[in-house]
Amino acid sequence: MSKDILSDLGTSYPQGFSVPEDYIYKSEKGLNAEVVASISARKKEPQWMLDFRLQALEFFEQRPMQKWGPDLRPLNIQDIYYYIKPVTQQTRSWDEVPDTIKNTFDRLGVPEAERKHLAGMGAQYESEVVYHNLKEEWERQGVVFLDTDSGLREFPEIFKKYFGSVIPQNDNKFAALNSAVWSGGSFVYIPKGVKLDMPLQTYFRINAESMGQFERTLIIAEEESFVHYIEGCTAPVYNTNSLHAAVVEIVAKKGSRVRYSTIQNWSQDVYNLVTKRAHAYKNSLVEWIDGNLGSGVTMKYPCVVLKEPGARAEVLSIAMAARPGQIQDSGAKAIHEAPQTSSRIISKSISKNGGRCSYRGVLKVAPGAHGCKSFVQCDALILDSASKSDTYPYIDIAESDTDIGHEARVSRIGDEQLFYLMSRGLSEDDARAVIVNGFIEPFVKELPMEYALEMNRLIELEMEGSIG
Amino acid sequence: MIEQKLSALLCQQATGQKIFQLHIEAGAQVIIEDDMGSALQMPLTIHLQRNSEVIYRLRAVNQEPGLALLQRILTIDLAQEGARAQVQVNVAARSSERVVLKTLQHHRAPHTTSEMVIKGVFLDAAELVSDNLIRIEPEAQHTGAREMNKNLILGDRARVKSIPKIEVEADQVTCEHGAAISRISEQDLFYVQSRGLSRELAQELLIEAFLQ
Repeated sequence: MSKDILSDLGTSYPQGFSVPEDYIYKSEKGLNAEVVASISARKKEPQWMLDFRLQALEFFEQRPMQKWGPDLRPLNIQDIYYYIKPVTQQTRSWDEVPDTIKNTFDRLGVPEAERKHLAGMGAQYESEVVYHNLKEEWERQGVVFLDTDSGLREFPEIFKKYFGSVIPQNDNKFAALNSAVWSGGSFVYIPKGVKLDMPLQTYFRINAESMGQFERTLIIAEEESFVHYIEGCTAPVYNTNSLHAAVVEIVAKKGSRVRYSTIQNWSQDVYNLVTKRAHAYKNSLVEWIDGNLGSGVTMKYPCVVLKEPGARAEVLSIAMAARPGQIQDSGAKAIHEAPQTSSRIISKSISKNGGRCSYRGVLKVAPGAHGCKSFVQCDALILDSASKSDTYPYIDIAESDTDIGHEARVSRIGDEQLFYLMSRGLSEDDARAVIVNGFIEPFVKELPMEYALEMNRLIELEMEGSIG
Repeated sequence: MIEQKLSALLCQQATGQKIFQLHIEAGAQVIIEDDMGSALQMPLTIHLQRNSEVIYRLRAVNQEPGLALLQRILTIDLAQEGARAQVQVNVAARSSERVVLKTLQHHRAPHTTSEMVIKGVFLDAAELVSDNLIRIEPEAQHTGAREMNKNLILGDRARVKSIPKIEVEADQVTCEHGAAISRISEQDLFYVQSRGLSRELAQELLIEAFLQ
């Protein structure tokens, strides 16, 4: 493969295209109480939700921007559309979806066969879930997989009980923003004892210029249930800043298991600022599998609060910053509030071409939380002299009966490793790609096959042309 | 290698300074024994010139009773090529003593190495705050940096906050850090006790071994 073809492969964005805007309603740019009230009115929400949104807006306006982390000043909060509704109603079958929207998904490569195999599929297109198709047999079991608006409408008691319980409105500035203008996202409810063997997945898409995306997902897993939820997103390339400030809340009750996988591949002008947190109850297991490849600036720290004995957390995260000025500021948080809990965080990052990856994490063991174990490993590869890597782990242990380990390693690809592979006949590019794929293997092997393949392909694309 | 006590080195400094500075000249090899205990509150920076080496040891195991705070703000400035530094801190704290360690291993030149090992034992309601940064500038290629913080928490109200940070802006480097926090292993205690020692004596012995 010649070098000139490859030299721009890492920089072009294959999903970069846009569809002429075919919208029913687009709010004015900017954020104020009228915009928030009109969002709530169009969705015909109950009074308590409108109050919740308006209160959150106040918190957002009062809170200053944080002083740590990447510089968010270029983000202009008022220069964004906060609500766009592309179709008038939710459809149930693929045939009923409007053609322009269908084309979008065809061009994104969501195959027909895949749709049939998966349990249910929601697709967010400009703040509204366009398509949902839930398999009848799981509906019979009482599994709920809807867009968040429908969840609020059809299951108001459960919704109200858990909404905002894991991430309150005033948790941080961007959770407050999301709480004020949230739209779309998933509402998932798994009843007692139900174990889903096929994953639930969604796609998200930002299309209109200067569109913000504020989906809000709430997953409730009742006792002894299991669900694997997959979120993967793409966005086309635009010049003005797009903002993605999502909130994901997970409640994992006794004995349940929730696995939440993400591959984020937003285009390079997106600010991806996400608050994700789970409450893990007795003997439950919460797994965050987090892949950050795209966006201009990502700040995301999936968190598990281990509230009762026997609860476990696993976070597997990879981040790749492959463009000049790209920042992946990610990590994980494990809060041990109860005894006999354990957590494991494995974070791997790759910086090249002037990109920067930072690991930011919290490991906290409260007094009285005896018998806890935790292990954190963060490894970073820096591939050239223009790139950077940072690690900021906060470890706060207030209990004597614990077993805590943390290690981090920052390095480049070893010359001996490269030499060994090249002596077997691989080119230098191929050797580097093989080593990088090996580096992220613990993450990739946890993904379903389609995602693992996409992930490997994306890494290979980024790795090509990595010399010079 | 020359061995020096820190108190002797610092009393030569001018009064009225805000930071103590030590300059290790090119090619020099010095072992610095930090014997100042809680008397040193001000920051200390050690500048290393070309091909110099420093081994810095702080052992604060038997504090004077009633000690409230042991604080070290220590910067190792690897300013020129070939500089090497090794820092060893062993500290044991009890009752409501507080140990605050704020350290920086600053690599500003190529072919430099630094290693920092902090071991602590915390009984009763003692507390550690350990904020350790390794910073490698873009021109500091071929650097090796390592930081390790191992702690035993033995008191029911003891608390350890460990913040090992890394900022790397050069690619031809290796940089690692680790932190481990635990109790004394029951197995080790049982082994020593089975040799006829009381539990208290066994614990003391194991703490002493840990702090070697």
